[in-house]
Amino acid sequence: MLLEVRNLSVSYKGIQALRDVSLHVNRGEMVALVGSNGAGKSTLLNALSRTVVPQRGQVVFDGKDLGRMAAFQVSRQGLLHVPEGRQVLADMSVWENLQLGMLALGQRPARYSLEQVYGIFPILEERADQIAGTLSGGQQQMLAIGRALMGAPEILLLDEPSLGLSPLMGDQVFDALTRLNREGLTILLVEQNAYRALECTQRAYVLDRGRIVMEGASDVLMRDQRVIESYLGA
Amino acid sequence: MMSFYYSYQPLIDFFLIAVGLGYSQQLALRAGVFSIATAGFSALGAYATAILVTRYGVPVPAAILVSAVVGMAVSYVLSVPLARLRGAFQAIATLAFVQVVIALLLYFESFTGGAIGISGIPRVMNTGWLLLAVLVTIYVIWSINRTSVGRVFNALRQDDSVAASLGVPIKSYYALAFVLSGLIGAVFGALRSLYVFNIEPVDFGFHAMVASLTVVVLGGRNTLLGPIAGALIMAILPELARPLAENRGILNGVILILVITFLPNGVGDELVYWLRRRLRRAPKTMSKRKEGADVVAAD
Repeated sequence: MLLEVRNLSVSYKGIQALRDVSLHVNRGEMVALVGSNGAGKSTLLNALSRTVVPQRGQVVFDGKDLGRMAAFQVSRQGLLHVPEGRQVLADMSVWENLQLGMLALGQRPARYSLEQVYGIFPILEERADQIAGTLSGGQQQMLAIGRALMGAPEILLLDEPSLGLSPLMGDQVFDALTRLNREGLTILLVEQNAYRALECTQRAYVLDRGRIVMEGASDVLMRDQRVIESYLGA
Repeated sequence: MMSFYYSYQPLIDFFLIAVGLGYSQQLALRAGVFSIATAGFSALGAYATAILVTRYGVPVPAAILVSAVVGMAVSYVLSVPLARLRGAFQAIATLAFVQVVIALLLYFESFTGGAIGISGIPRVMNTGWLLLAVLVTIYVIWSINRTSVGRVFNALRQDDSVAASLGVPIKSYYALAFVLSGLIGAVFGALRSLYVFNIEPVDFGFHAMVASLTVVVLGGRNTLLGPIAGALIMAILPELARPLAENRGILNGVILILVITFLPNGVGDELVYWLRRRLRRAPKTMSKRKEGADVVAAD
């Protein structure tokens, strides 16, 4: 088990965003976290990368308790978070953004070289000297993922990678993620588009109002009547 | 050329000091620390050197060294609470720091000379030394820009939570930027005291604070050219505005408003960005870049 979360609870100023969430991700898996707006999906990812400090619960990553680590230490362990809204550093060039990704390496060896990242997202090589803020939304998403890859992720946490992208761009991003997973990268994916998320993952958790209400194999969940009614809108 | 130099020598010297203090101010702003503490650092540096040289006969180089250490130590201590604050709160905290420094200078009269300050400081600085100090400062910042530290400063300014998620120990880098700012501020404060014969607390008050901030706002906060351009404008402007006599301040204000409105990155930064855009349009084969092979400045 690469990532294990036990009874995680998070509250913001008294409002409880996550209650006793437990989940796990095995090495090499691609796992989806689906749920409606405000279900606590982003909060969960933020708590895992420790950009939000949980009130209770334990997060064990690769045998290490992340409980006392700061956000930068967590990313140096190889738990890399691509936050919602892409978050590229808009004033810097594509190349500089990618270079910054290497900070997360700490003492660990690289897993993807710059050439490999360019191989996965050729547009980034084409636009290497361009200022990141002038890229299209899809390209920025690719840059954010590429930047995380430069930091040799053991697991990649992705928050709504298709948010605000054209369907075509969204497909491209998801194709790349599926390929990365097939080559061995572990991915935990948050996605509003439940159909798309279930389609490309092996397992999934359904989050509702801060609790995990369902879990199981993605293809099973996709046929589950409750999931279809609540999240697939069929 | 030489006659130009002789007629404008004081102007050139003060320009060089303003450039140095501008770099101190710029380093903090560039890393996203909204500090206006440079005036306070330069006061500490100036007084440390002036007291050591005039009262204790310490050799000038040793006194400057002590000033540098004082600047670094104080800025490091100050960086601890500052790393917990953001934006305007950092500005207020550093403003308070400057006021505290001035209050202490006024209070410990027997040591600092109170409101009268310290006079009879040997004038050992000249254009050559000041130019050397500015060049060394530029070299240091240029070296920083070539490493990932420069990129991290830029990342911190743009978004500190993204920086953290990329593995940047935020507090350490904030502290580093602030200590460098304190070091440069204190050294140029010390050099200033060795140029002007006498110093008093009012030299480092609100006016000094606004002056170094203005240099960066006018010139630019990211490139090495920024403080030079800003200090140049601030040096030339009063000369051009001479006919306006006591209404000179109006021109200052107008220029500031124009720059903020039309060149929000500052004159120096805009110039560098413009040049870079032109260079990027050059043949694509030129753009094969190696690690850190960046020109002029950081981002």
